[in-house]
Amino acid sequence: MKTKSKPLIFSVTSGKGGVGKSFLTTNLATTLANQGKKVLVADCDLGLANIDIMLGINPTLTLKDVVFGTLHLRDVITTTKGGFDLIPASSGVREMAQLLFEKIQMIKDMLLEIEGYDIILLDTGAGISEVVLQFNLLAGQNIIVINRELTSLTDAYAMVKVMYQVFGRKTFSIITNNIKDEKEGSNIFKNIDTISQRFLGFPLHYLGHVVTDDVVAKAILKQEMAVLAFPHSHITTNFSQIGKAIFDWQKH
Amino acid sequence: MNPFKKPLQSSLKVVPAVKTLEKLINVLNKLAAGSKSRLSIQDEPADIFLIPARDIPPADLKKLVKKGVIIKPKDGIINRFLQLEKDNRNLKSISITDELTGFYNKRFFNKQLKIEIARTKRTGEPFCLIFIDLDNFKSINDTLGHAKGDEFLIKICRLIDQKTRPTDFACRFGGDEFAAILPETSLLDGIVIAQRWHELIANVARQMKVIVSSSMGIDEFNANKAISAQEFFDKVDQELYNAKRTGKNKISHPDLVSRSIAEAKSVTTTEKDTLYKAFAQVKT
Repeated sequence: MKTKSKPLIFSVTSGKGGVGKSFLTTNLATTLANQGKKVLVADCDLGLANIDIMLGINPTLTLKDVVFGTLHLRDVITTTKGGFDLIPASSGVREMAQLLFEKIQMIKDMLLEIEGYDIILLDTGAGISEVVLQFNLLAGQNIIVINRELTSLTDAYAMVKVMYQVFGRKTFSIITNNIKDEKEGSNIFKNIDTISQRFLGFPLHYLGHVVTDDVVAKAILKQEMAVLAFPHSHITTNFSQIGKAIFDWQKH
Repeated sequence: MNPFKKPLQSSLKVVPAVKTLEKLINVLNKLAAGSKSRLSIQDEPADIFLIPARDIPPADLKKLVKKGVIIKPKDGIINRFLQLEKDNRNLKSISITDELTGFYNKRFFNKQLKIEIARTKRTGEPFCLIFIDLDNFKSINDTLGHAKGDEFLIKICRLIDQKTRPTDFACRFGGDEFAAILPETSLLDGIVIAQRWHELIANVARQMKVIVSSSMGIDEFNANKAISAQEFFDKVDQELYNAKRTGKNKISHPDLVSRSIAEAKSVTTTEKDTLYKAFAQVKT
């Protein structure tokens, strides 16, 4: 039933680094896989890929073999303990971060050819570089991660502004990460939503929040998925709510 | 002072009619009295004023004659002046236009480029500069003769001239090299105009059954650019070179996307202010 349909493509992006994009992407992917979805994560953080490290895997084939070799993206897909599939990127390769436009185009074309998944999550790099924007453009939906730091808000707003002014995109979803509670999350969201409405003329969509939780550090240390290692934690509840919200949002 | 022996100067003015006769009479009286100071009518100082008699109402002319100041047409002075003025304009136009195509020449271009840069810095309105180089043009001259080559040039220039807005300056540098200055035009609009000309040249080539196309380089000068006329010239030249180098028959311009990304990326102070204020409310 799901073999022929094209997967939904979401990008997880931020503007600012260190807000928890990769943590969010992997745990969201695990949650969605748990909910019975077929999930593929593409590590598009070409300069500083770290999903493989989070998962404690050392893949032999990576995005590098696609870009500089003859392989298709399909050939480098690997399974993970989170229950989702992964296209790993190789970290710390300088030339990867400054990919030629043609190469980006090639990766984009290959991503669009991939079938057999319900959803593909693209974990973009930090910043607002051309490469990041290209991946955001490829994705049908952009999830922007913010936290309680003011700089993450301004950078997220800059991302929304660029995507709107340069590419005309008007729908963005926001997830607040590493926050005290639900109320703080929606307050922070309200800030960026207000200035988007005021200066750009459209509202943003709030997908949900992930609270600050000790289990996150523990899980990262053990190279485990937090939602699997601590199924009864707050954040596991948060992730299920976000997972549900994503597909509810898609329905209308 | 003897104006006839002086070389033509820009201060020489032909005033076809003078509205207030009193002023004119005043000047003529001074002239008759042998005044050495510079004359002026309607607060326009000049070395000499010409008022053909037919422009003066007959009644007033009579008054003038009574005053005893009149230059008889048969002296040929008026005609000589008018002819000189005409020649002067002619010379000026020859010195700034290209003989074959009637476009402005490089001398004019260099001057106008500096003017437009100064204008942009003052008004903040960007302007565009296009360089055009015909691909394979030499083949016409070589195989069909120079007359055919000239015909091609004249044809495309006439068409481009029809398509240019009255404010644009189209110039020929010589040979098959052209340039155009498009005042108060953003890069996006400039590219559209360049595309139109590119198509137009292709059409003429098709009609004349010659294999000629055009390569173009274009860029915008805006108030943010702190570069000189020469540096801007070189930048557009580089764009033209890019078009030539990457296969010809195309228009090369700076990447619009990366340019607008850079512009959009900067969050304005008003936006930041609003964000800061909203943020402060959450904290309390």
